[in-house]
Amino acid sequence: MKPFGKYRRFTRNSISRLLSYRANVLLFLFGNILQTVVLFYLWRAVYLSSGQAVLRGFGFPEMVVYLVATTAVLALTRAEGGEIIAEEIREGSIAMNLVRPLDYRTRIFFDALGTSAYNLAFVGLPALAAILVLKGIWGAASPDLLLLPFLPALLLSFLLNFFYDFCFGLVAFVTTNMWGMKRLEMVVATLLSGGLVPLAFFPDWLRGFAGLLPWASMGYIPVMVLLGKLQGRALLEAFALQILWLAFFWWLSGLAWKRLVRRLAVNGG
Amino acid sequence: MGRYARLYLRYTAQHLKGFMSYSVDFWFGLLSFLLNQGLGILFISLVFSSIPNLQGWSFFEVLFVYGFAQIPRGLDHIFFDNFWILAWRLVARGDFDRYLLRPLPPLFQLTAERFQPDGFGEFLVGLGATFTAGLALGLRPSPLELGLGVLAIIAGVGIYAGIKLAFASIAFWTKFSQSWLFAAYRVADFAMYPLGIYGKGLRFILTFVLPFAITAYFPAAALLGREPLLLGSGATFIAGAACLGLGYLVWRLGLRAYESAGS
Amino acid sequence: MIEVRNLRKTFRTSRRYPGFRGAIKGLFTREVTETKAVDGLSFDIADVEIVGYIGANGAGKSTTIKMMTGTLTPTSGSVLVDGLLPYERRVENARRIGVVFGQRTQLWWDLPLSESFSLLKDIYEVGDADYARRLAFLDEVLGLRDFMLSPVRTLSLGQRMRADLAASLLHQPRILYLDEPTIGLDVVVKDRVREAVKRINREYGTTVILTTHDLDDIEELCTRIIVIDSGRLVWDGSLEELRARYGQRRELRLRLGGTDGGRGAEAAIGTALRALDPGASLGREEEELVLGFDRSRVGLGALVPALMAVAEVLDWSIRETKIEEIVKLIYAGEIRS
Repeated sequence: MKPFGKYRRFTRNSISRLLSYRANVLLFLFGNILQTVVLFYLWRAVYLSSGQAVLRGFGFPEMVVYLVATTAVLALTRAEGGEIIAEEIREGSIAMNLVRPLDYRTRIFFDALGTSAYNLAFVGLPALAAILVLKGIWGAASPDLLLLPFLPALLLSFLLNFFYDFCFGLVAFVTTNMWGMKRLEMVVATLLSGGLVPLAFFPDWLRGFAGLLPWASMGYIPVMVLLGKLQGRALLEAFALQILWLAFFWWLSGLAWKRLVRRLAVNGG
Repeated sequence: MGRYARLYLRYTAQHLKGFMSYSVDFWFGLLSFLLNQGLGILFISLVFSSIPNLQGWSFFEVLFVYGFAQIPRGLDHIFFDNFWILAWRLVARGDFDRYLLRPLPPLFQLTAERFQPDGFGEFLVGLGATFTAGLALGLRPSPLELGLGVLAIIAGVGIYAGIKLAFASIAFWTKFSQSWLFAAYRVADFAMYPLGIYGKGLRFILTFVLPFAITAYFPAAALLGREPLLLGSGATFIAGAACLGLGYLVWRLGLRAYESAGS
Repeated sequence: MIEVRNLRKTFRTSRRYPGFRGAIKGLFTREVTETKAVDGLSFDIADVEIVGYIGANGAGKSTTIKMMTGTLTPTSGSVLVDGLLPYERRVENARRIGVVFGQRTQLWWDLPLSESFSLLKDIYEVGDADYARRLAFLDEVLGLRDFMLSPVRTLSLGQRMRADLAASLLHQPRILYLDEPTIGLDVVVKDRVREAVKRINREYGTTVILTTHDLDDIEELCTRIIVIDSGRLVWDGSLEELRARYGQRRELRLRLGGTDGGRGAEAAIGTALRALDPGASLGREEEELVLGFDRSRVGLGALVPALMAVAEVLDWSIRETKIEEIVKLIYAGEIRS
């Protein structure tokens, strides 16, 4: 008996669904790439104008890798779990899930896994290819990338993001129209996960604080690990922080879920 | 013509009334847009903390271009937001037929049915940034320059609206064209910064293919004295008219295809 | 009023292949199929008629309606509505028609009903006096006052249907298209809607075209029935004619006892049945015996005892013949008019 047998179907469905919108998906991907390209040109101009090779600890090649890697990591880890939940709440189909012999969180997890597998192929691989190409171009000047500690950091980020997203999805139960709040969250998350500028560029008073927030653990830390900027003790501390946030949101999602189930049972969906 | 103006106001009034019922979310939405624009400015200032100027452009000059770019973008967002809905939902759910069953041009109905106050976020931030930067730079535009600037902004709205309409109308063929619009808007993001930082190929695309650079860079640079004034204003009018024309053409073609293929 | 001549509509649809493998294949190619939704329809509808336009799902009803309302262009043939081609002079046509969809609303979701009406008044350029008069009439006939101020999204299905019907009549259209107007409604509201339609037809001379699956709708409202199947006209006549021919059919399902599931008794049942109604039919569906008979020839009171006399009947249920079956019967009987 294959483990998670009944759940694998959800992952396959997720991928099928995404594949059926071929042009759309490619265009979304293209759009995301464009965003990175704008930043690339901006930073190139910045480095040229600064007259320095290194800014706040980032050389230009490192900055480029940073941009590509951040886009990829954010795409890989931001799964759709929350949206699926919010949608099911709004449509009322969430009550159906309680009747089925599946653990809801696990099911959503496998849905999200599908999206991530898909993103891995269509975002992760191109990003990897891009970085390899760049390394080829830069030759000796290319930054050293530490893949080994990067992978667990990425995994932790994915898990953390999943539970965080799950909680967010459940909030849809309280507010009917989530759109504005979702946008707000996206903006804040992008900033604080280093999607706009590396946290190293933040003013001193904000940098330390931002580094401790969950978003940094989701986006910034894995990329910094990849670039080898977190090593030794700093690396261990980073992992610890990720695990801490992961535990917190895992606990919170469980709590919120129990509350929801109770409420559904009382109100009848 | 006056009838359409009156009808437009009626639609808008009704929409705002309906809108009030989602007030909490409205504030969140507005806040998020404000924050989004604010982030752009934050980014610029963070970056400038490490450098004296950006390829010859001072902080306030860059801010001026950025702010100027937000103004037509925000205005377009306020008035033509329903085009997104066309791309995303109207055709896919078959709700578009409603427009065909009423004795009004469907494009008018599409435009009138949604008045999006969130766009004010972009508009105000843009205005604020432009004014602040302008003051800091000690700009004193002549009445001619000011007038041309305003006209350039209006033409800029035409560029956004036309391109948006064209890409949204793709939904008539594919049912769902949100991704096209998304990609187009990401291209528009390039227009917020001085054109000089981009490579030749990109500059060409931003000026002649998807002329977003004309919504912001050329007029703003003209006001800063970095580009000729005629280019800055003339280009916007031509581009604005062209985009609107193209957008309308794609719309009509799409409409015909839709009426032939059904929903 | 409405002239349909040789109307044809063919659709080309592309589908992706099924399954997971299909989804990957779908990145490169798709299956393209051509469907003839409407295949050479011709009929006329006169002023002030109430016509029931019926057929099975997918028979081509909505496609025809769309061409009549101007939202779809025909592949060939023509539709003339009140002298003009609706898909060419769309705005003009729109002024003269009212449309109600059972599944979807024409009203604005977040607006109170009164505001929706007021907006429609402006769109259709209805004069103040006319508007007041019609609104009063519609309120009397449909009872809108109670929920006039509620946003449309808060209305129950019955209220929304009534609201949509009223909205479609504010500008006094010459033709009213009703697409499944009573679907999902409870008996009281159905009645109300039907009464309203009758009154409007009587007092304002509105031509009504009604598509429905509800036989009672037809019975109550329609003077004429047009049946369409696979895009073709299959029956065009009055309600009386249809009723006389097929409306009396009933279906009786029997569950028989005995180790063979009653199969041995079938012949006897057949004989008994046909003695009472020569035109009756007999068939088997797995464990059930299905009898089709004409109610006007033999009533249950006579039929059931006769059957029970020749076989051990464990259970039985009775059903009215559905529209789809009438359509099939018509098709099988090849009745055209």
